[in-house]
Amino acid sequence: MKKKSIVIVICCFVLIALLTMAFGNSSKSSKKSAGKIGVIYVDGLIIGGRAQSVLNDYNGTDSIMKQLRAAKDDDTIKAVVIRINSPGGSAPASQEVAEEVKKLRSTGKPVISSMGDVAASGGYWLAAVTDKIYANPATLTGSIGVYMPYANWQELYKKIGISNEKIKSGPHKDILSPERSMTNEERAIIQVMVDDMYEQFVQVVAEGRKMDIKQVKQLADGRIYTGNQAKALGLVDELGNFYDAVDGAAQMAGIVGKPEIKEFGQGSPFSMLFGPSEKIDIQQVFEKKIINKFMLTLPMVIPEQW
Amino acid sequence: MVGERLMNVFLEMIFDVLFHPRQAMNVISSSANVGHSLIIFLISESILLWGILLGADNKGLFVPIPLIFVIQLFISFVLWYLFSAVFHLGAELLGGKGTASGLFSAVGFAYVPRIFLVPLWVLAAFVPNSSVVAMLSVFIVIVWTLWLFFEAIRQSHQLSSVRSFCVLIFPFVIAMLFFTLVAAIISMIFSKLPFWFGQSL
Repeated sequence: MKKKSIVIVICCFVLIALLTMAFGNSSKSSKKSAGKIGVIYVDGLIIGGRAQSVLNDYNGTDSIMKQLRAAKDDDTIKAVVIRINSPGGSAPASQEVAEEVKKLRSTGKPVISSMGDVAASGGYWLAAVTDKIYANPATLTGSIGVYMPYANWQELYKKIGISNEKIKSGPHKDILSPERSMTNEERAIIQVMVDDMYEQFVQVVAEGRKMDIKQVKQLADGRIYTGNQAKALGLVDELGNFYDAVDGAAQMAGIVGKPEIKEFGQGSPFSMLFGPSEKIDIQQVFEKKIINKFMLTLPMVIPEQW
Repeated sequence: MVGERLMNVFLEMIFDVLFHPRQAMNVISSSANVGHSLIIFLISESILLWGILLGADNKGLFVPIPLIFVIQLFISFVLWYLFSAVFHLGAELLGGKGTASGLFSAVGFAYVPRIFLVPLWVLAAFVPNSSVVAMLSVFIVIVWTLWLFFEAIRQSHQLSSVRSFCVLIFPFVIAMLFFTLVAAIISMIFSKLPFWFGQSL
């Protein structure tokens, strides 16, 4: 009888413990949260499309846009910090991501950019559309401008005895082809395109930084600036590191106390091997430029020497 | 009446296993009632698994509870069978006189202490240094379970304490040797690989 009683008591304890584990102190239950700061990382070259992985050689900003959407739809996220460590990349890719940033801001959530080592050209395009820009004094930024790279391999082909011929539907179908010199007419066409994209870039900076277009154009000759210089010129708002940006974002969102951070874009080991990744191999991208002619025609917002 | 008698038998067996393991394992291995052991094993494992899975679900972690429950139960059963088989082999090699079914039944009852993990973890949540308390409770239950394995081996095969201890560590020694061998083979293979991965496409 005593044995049975003891075992019954033990069973009751176990049952109560099970119920406690099932229903007690649930983090799923509605508990008032002060709100979180979402962090999205922009690392490396900004190129459109899907990102690169070990077994997949695509690279792109689709994942960044997905993260921005996720931050927009997540009600617990009260503000977003975009951590930019990028020398730039393609103009259309930077534009796409910038549009998503604007959509995120339109929901009322502040978006703050925090510049790392470098946030130049396309990286600055993204920063310019945010509510506030934080940079370290030694951050390299600026490089507001556009170029379209073109290489002429005609002499090399002659040397190695290769002759190319194209049967084209129109005179400019093979514009920017490396197999021949560019004509003056083609140069003018490309220049118009570059100028158009430059105007778009300047417009973005002028709107984002609330500066006059003339003033922006004076700064937008393609040169890079330190964070210090950029602040003096009005291209950057505050000097500070990532956590200063987080605190600034919390303040703008009205979060009291130490803010909780939620990082977007964290993948599982499986997705790191087989899925898209934000890490982009710069050398491989530029090697592809030689092999893949499509890449040669991309308008680039990135300093030439990087 | 039969059900009540069965329940009384179970409750007494559980008490004896927990607090008088030597006598309990002697009786269990002699009767070799695998059915009783299976019931006790299922109850013990289920309580532990429910506790873990419900706790994880409570914390907001995505957990496909039914699937994991079934898989883990199956794995635990396979391990129970494997442990019993290896213990029996070791006991036979060291001159044991018991039966495989007797040992299998006794080992099944050795899983009973696991039911204490659930209330201990709940208790740990309410005290300072909860992770230390939780780990300590796991350690205590593991030691208790190993002690019950030891008594199961000793009573079912009538071995001395030293031989019973040798039988107890036998599967772990085998496992260590096996994994050492596998690691050696894998490192031997991988030491050849840099010549393959060195070329980039």
